[in-house]
Amino acid sequence: MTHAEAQELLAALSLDATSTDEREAILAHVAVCDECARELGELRDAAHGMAQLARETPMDPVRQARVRAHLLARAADRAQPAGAPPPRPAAITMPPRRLTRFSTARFVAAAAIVLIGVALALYAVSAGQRANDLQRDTQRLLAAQRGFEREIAARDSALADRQALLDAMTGAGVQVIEAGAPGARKPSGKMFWDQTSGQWTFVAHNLPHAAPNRTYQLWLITRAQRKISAGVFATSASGDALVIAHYPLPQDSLAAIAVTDEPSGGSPQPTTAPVLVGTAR
Amino acid sequence: MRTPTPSTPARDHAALTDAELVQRVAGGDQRALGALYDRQVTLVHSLALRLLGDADDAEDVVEETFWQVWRHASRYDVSRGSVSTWLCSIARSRALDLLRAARRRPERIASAIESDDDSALASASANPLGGVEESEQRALVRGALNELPPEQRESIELAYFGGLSQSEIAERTGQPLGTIKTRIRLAMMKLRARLSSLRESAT
Repeated sequence: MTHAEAQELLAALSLDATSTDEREAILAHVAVCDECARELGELRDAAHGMAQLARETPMDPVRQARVRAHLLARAADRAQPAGAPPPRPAAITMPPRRLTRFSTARFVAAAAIVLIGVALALYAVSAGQRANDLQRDTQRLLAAQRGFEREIAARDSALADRQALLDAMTGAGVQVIEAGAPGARKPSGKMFWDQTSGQWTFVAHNLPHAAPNRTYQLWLITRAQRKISAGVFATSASGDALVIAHYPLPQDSLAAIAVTDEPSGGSPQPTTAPVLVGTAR
Repeated sequence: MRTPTPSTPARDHAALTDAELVQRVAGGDQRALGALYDRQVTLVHSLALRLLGDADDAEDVVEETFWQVWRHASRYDVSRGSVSTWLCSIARSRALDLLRAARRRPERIASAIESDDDSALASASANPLGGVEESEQRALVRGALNELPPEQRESIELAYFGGLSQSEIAERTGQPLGTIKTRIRLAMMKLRARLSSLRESAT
């Protein structure tokens, strides 16, 4: 591809709107052309500026907390040493989410694949479709199958996570700390501290929405009066919240838990009076 | 080695820029990842939801985007764009993968374009730690796009939010492919020049 041809297509490439062949040809040229590389960078910046036009839609607080906890757990499991080269690229691993009719979904997925396959075979034989039609349909079926497999894997993962959450909240070594506050709406919270695994699962109800540019922050307070942040969180429309954190703490060292109202992003130490407080046993 | 993972928003994390947080993530700092997530999750989620129109799919894309940040933070090059541009690039790529795999794009394209909403300009920032800056960016982009001829704007929005190729845009709009190529090139050149000019005058 010539410089002039690449220049004509840089804008389309910045939007990923070229064909695969065009893309490869342009990138081969960009790799050896500083001018085109710089221009492509600027065009991509402009293109992704369009993301700012998406209607601002904050994530549901429970989803946001769940994704955060899952993300950090994954990061902890695959901690990367400083300066290490990036790990190999891997297939997309989808996070666990809702868990409904697991076995039914697996059956329906398998049945759908079989039925679609039979229908396709009959169709191909009776209609005598050309080979390229069959190939295209097969590719679509394979794509659908991959989708079903991914959904099944996600549900398997969700089931395992749900079981782990139940264990963390009901296991023999779990201490439960209730937190309450006076007032008409009666905000309340309950912390499930799995002392075996070091997992903290906090559930809150009836919390009023934090003011703009403010957030709730959860604290673990030790008997030595050390205040350890266990995360910031927002509430759902109904005032509910779920926070999951991992932090090892000796069994007798917890004095209390507390929730405070803090500036967005949280504070190193509490700056306001607690809206919820719970004393450990 | 597994290190404690509660989000401890240390003073230094709150004061760091996005690029500095990414640098720390590249060094294995999980708290920096948490801080970057807290700061940018709404931007990423808004884009994913706009592209996919489904809260569950958007949730998948949000987690996968920040997971890619964790795994490939060392690849981020500040000279090639802002962190938010990088995040949007990852999120959009993942979202379009989902759209194409699920073959749901035709039904979603219309909503992706039609959900464009002027009220977004008046809403609060996607980034709670950089509200003014994000609002300004949104206003700059909106202003630059409003200066484009409608047919040029439509072409680049179909490409960006609909994930359509130039050929697919030509097919969808009934215009010759050459016309679409010209519209996209002119629109992006104007958008780049206008944004550059507006940013310079804003600083």
